[in-house]
This record gives sequence, C-alpha cells and structure tokens, in this order.
Amino acid sequence: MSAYVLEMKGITKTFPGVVALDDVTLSVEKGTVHALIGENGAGKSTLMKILNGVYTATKGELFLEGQPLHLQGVRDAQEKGISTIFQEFNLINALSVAENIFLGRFEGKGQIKWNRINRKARELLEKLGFNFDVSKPVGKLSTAEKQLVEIAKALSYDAKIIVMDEPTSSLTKKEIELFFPIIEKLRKGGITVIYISHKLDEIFHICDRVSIMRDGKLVGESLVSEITRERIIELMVGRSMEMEYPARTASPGEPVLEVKNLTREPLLHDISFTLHKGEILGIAGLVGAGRTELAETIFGAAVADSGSIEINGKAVSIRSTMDGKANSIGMVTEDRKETGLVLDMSVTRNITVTKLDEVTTGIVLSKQKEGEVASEYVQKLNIKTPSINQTLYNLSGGNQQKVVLSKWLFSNVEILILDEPTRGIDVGAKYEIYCLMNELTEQGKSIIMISSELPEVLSMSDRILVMHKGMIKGELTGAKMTADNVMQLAID
Amino acid sequence: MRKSTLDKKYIITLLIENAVTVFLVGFVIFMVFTKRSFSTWDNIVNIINESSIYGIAACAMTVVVISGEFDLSSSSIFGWSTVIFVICINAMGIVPAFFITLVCGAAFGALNGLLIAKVKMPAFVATLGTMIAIKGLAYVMTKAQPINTNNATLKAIGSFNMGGISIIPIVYLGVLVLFIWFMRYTKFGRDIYATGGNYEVARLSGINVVFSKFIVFTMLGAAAALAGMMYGVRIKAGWAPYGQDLALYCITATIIGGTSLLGGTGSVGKTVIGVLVLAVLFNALTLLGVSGSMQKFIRGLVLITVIMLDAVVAKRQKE
Ligand SMILES: Nc1ncnc2c1ncn2[C@@H]1O[C@H](COP(=O)(O)OP(=O)(O)OP(=O)(O)O)[C@@H](O)[C@H]1O
Ligand SMILES: [Mg+2]
Repeated sequence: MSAYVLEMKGITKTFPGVVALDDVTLSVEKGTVHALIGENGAGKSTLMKILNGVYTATKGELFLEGQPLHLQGVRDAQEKGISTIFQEFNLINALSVAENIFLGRFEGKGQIKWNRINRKARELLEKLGFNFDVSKPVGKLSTAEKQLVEIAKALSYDAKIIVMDEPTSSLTKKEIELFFPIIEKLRKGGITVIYISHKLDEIFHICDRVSIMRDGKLVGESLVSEITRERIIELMVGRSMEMEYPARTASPGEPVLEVKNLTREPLLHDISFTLHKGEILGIAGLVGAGRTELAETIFGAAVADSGSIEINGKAVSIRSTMDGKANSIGMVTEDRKETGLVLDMSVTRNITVTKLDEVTTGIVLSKQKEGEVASEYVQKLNIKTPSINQTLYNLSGGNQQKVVLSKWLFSNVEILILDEPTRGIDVGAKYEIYCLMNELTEQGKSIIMISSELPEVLSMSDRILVMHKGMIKGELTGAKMTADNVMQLAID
Repeated sequence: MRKSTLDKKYIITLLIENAVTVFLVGFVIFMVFTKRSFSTWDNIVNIINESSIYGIAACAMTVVVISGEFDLSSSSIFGWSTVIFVICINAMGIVPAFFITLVCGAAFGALNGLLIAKVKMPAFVATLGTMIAIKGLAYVMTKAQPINTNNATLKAIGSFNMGGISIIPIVYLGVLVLFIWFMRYTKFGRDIYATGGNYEVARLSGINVVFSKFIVFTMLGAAAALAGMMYGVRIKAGWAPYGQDLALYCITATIIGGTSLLGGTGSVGKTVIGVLVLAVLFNALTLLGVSGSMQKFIRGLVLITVIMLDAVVAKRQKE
C-alpha cells in the first residue's frame, strides 16, 4: 500500500506546437495541502486538468490510492473523488445554492424532495463553518460565497482530493482570511488539497509540501518547512532574484489629470484628486469600496452624475470609452475573461484592437505591421505562446493577463489606469511589469494603479489614495505609506 | 491505450466540423451517378444563377451573424425592393429606381440597426416587428397584386448572357469580394469581429460598438435590396411575398459555412460554400421530383440540423 493518495507518473501532454507537460511525476500524501507553483505557462493548470478529466494525457499514468485511475471526464472524476475549483466557477447563477450543489443528482422519484436537499446543503455548509440561506440564487452571492458553494459541492461528492487553481486571486484580503480556516478544516477531515497560487505568502501560510514547475517539468519538491522563499523563486524563475520590486525611477511632475467632486450615485461620492505627470498613484481599499467604479467613470465606461474632469488644465467631457481613448486614457480591466480579452481572437488581434489606426495604411489593415507589433509585445512581456496567431483560449491564465497589459501598452495612452494589473502573474513576470511601469512614467506617462495586493501598492506607488464606501478616505505619502495606515483607512 | 479514445474523439470532432463538406462531396457524387441531367452544363449554370440572388444577401447576413446578431426582416426588405424597384422603373427609369431602392433598403436596415444597437432591443423582437411592418407596407403599395414592367433597359440587362451565366452571378461576385475585403482588411471589419466576440470587451477597448452593430444591419438592408433588384432583373416583376424564405436561407447558409451564431468567428468567404450546398441540395431535390411542399419541410429540417451541429461543435471545441 502506498502512502500516497495520488500519484501522477511520467505525465506528458502536448498541444499543437506546445509541449505543455514533459514527463511530470507528482506524488501527493493523504490529508496534506500540497502547493503547486511555477511560472506562467509552466503547465500547472494543464496538469490539474489531466487529474480532473478535462484532458487525457498524451503519455503517463494516474493512481488514486494505489489503484490505476482512468477518467472519462469531469463528472467521472468528481464521482471518483476528485473535484476542482476553477477560477471561473461552474455554477448557474439563476439556481439556488442547494440546487447548484446537487445539480443533476436530485433525489426523489418524479417529485424532488426539496426539504431534504435543502437540509443536506445546509449541513454541508455548516461542516465548513458557514450558515447562509441555501435557497438564495447563486448570482446574489459574493465571490467568496460562490467559492464556498463550490467546496460544498465537492464535499457532497465525498471528495478525496480538491484541486484549487488560484483560489484567492479574486478574493479580498478579508475573505482570504476567512478562506484559510476552511482549508484547515478540509485537511483535518482527511481531504487532500492541491493548491495552485502565485502568492508565495500563502504557500508558507497553509501548505505542507510544495512542488515547483518550470517549462512543463517538475524542477523541485520539498516540505514547505524546509525551503526558503528565495529558493522557491530561484527554482521557478531559473535564476535568483534579489528583490521582488524595483525601485521607482521617475518622479512626478505637474498635474495632468484633475478630478473634481466626481459623483455617481450610489457608488461614488464627491471624489476629488490630482494625478501628476510621471506619477504612479496607488488606489487602495477593500473590494466594494468603489475603486473599479472610479476607474470606469474616469475612462468613460460609466457616466458620472456630476463633477468635472480636467486634463492638462482643460475641462473635458468623457461620456464613453471612445471619449476616454480620445483623451488618451486607457484602462486595463480587472477581469481578463469578462472584460479584457476576446478569447476567440488571436494574440495579435487582441493586442492591436485598441489602436488599429496605428497598423493601417490608408484604410487597409496591414497584417505585416500587426505582426510586428504583436511580436514586439510577445517578446517584451515574455508572453508564452506557440505563435502570435494562437487564440487566447489556449494561453495560460498569466499569459492572457500579459496580453491584456500589452493591448493598453500598445495604445500608448498618456494616462493608464491599471485595475489589478498583476492578477495571476508569476513573481518573475511581475518584476518585469513593474519595470515597464517605471519605464512608462520615465517617458512622462501617468499611471493610476488599483490593487488589492498591499505590498504591490506600497512598493510601486508614489502616493496612495485609500477609498472607503465610494469616498476617498485619506491620502498617504512618503513615510506614511505603510500597511497599517492603509488598512486603518480602508476599514470602518 | 488512452490514445485510441483520444484519436476517436478527435476524428469525430473533425468529421462533425467538416460534415457539410463531406456531405456536399458525397451528395454530388451520388447525383452525378444517379441523375444524368444533374451534371450537364445547363444545370450547373442554373445552380449558379439561382444561388447568386440569395448569395448577395447571405454575404451581408454573415456579417450580421459575426456581429452576434441576426435579421429576420431581410426577407421583407427583399420583397419590398422588388416592388419599389418596378414601380420606380415604370415611373422614372432604371437608374433612379436603382438608387431609390438601394437607399430604401439601407434605410430599413438602419432602422433595425437603430432599434438593436441604440435602443438595445433583442434582434429577434426588433426584426420580427420590422419584418411584418415592411411586408405590410409592400402589400399596401401594390394592393397585394404583382406588378410588371416592360422597361427595355431592364430587359437588356436581364438578357445579358455569358456562356449561360447571367449578370447576377457577376454582381454576386462583386459583392462577395467587397465584403470579404471589408471584413478582412478594414478597421470596421475588425471592430465588428471584436464586437461579436465579446461586446463588453470591445466597448472597454474604446471601440464604437453601437456603430458596429448599426452598420451591419444597414449593410444587410442594402444587400437585401440589391438582391431584390436582381430578382426583379430576372423576372421583371415586383410582388410583396417574393423572397419569403430569404432570411432563414441566409442564416442557414451562414451556419453551414461555419460561422457560429454566437458571433465573433467565421467569415464571408465560408458562406459561399453554405450557399452552394443549399443550392445543390434543392436543385437535386427538384431533379429527383420532390414536391415544393416537401422541399419546404426539408429546408426546415436542414436549418435545425445545422444549428444543432453548430452547438455541438462549439461545445466540443470548448472541451
Ligand atoms: N488547449 C490548449 N491548446 C494549446 N496550448 C495549450 C492549451 N492549454 C494550455 N496550453 C499551453 O500549455 C502551456 C501550459 O499552460 P497552463 O495553463 O498549464 O500554465 P499554468 O502553469 O497554469 O500558467 P499560469 O500560471 O499562467 O496559469 C502554456 O504554454 C499554454 O499556452
Ligand atoms: Mg493556470
């Protein structure tokens, strides 16, 4: 009998033009939280999709509790005790919590026994230490609550293994703090968790073992207690990294953007601030504080009820995204799948979409110019893709994020709003992106950066605004920019 | 050992994706051997001439489908155009008639565009409404009677003949090239792809999404009018019910060609194959002696089948 609940042996997976996994062997002990980390495009998600029946391996074998495992699909994997919590939840918004948990498995002959189903759903949530209305439609829940429903669903299948692919990337700090005890409960219950994340702190906080991947290969494995943060980074990036954040190189000049008494009921109240040339202005606050809404209103994706915006001292009217772009404002949105990328289109087309004029001769699009632009950004941001004509569907999460950044870098706007710019991006690539932000501000461009990652805001901003309930609660500069000060302003 | 199931899955997907081409080739071979009259030059020319009329509208319908919408009213715009074209020819000659009809068609299309892009009505409701309204208008104009014309220029144009090929396939070719070029090589075409691919992403990229949706309907209105005029050139008459099945025919041809109803993908060039498939199919059915009513039934069946295949392929690609 092996002590491993799961063994993946010699797994190889190829896609046209890509070797996503090259002879990977992963063994996971029962009842542990096993971290899987690595660069963007290293093959983490692909490996997990082989485990949960989405893909079949080109080569290699799986063993569950010592027995060979052959999967016929996601449902089959679920029934055999392997559940996955994807970043995009597999839930139907119009159905209730209980309905979602037991979808396709309703009890009762002919007539569904709702009482029993609701009671069971309630019990599952209670097991996780939560208690909320199971007849509520899932669409009305927060991201964290939806995740909880997914976990309850996994438990309802008697999951032995729960895979979590970047579960905290769209949770707030507070939600993350509530999320960790859930993992602890799962572990205590003998359930194995495979945990993918780009946030190293989390690994040290909750994981027992860590496997590190690079370029489709497993390059290291260790007990978390026996490895250092630096060593992990070194293994995944392939070189040692002195710092995770570069020093700011530009210094702010005269004002470029002045926002005065901007109000958009009920989300934004009387917001005024100034952005300077060459400045990175950080905006911190809890999710729901109105940060994204503020960004949308400045860019023109939503229209303010009152207030004014001045650019270079001149009042401008921004009532649509076209107005925003015409005033040289760009915005990297926080949700790459919903609002950032056309997943059906190629890398090239996604990058050039913001500024097609730049790649047209007369009125005719020049494929050659487009290709040059795309190649330039693929190289600059180190986007891992077999070709610039690959559709975005087939890129890894982090590489998709790099394409979102590229499209707005290409648009060459003077004022760039970044909403959670490094979500899902690996440590090494983050550093590169921070360097790019430095470069842009050196060229005299200005950046507004919204981020829930405190270290990022603290390290990269010249100044920080903290939002709370649709208002700017405070401004921090210089030595006042500390985690404590930000949190104090962000919370009631 | 796992490989075999993978291969099977892959082959099945490939077959479904290319089901139409496979079917077309098989069907043509079958017909060549069973019906002598099928592969005669006369019949081939006939297929080309026949399919060109709806083909003109199908090009524009493809663009509408790429933008993520569809249009039921193009049938009525077609019928209306035959009517107004003939009335205007009789009243003031062919050149003014041509432009008036074209502008009318574009205006109806623009109305659809306005309702859908700006007012944000669902395409189904908006174009069902305009379909009924425009058809009603065409009936009113003619007191529900067909009207004829004896215009000499029209007759001359109608009798143009190049080895059996009439003027219509030539116009079709022109429209086809124009639309392919528009969608592939212009900024507007690209904006339409992005808008259909993901409306919100396109909007947040600073694309004029309202204009993109508006213009595709306007173009389809104009194309349906042009198709209606070509029909007028052929039969030298105008009548409101002409072209009743145009919209569904064009949508079917578009999907058969491989442009998904979900929007954002596909191409005008592919629709040529769809148009050809339908033309060959119905020509063959006629040759085989299948009645008109029966053909209508089959037409419906084909539509349902291709929409189903479209959904299946989309699902498989996602997995
Ligand atoms: N369906 C697919 N078709 C083609 N290539 C694919 C497909 N799925 C993944 N890939 C490629 O396989 C590689 C590994 O991707 P994967 O999603 O596993 O990376 P990852 O480690 O999860 O990265 P990230 O941290 O960015 O999420 C990438 O280069 C990606 O482009
Ligand atoms: Mg991934």
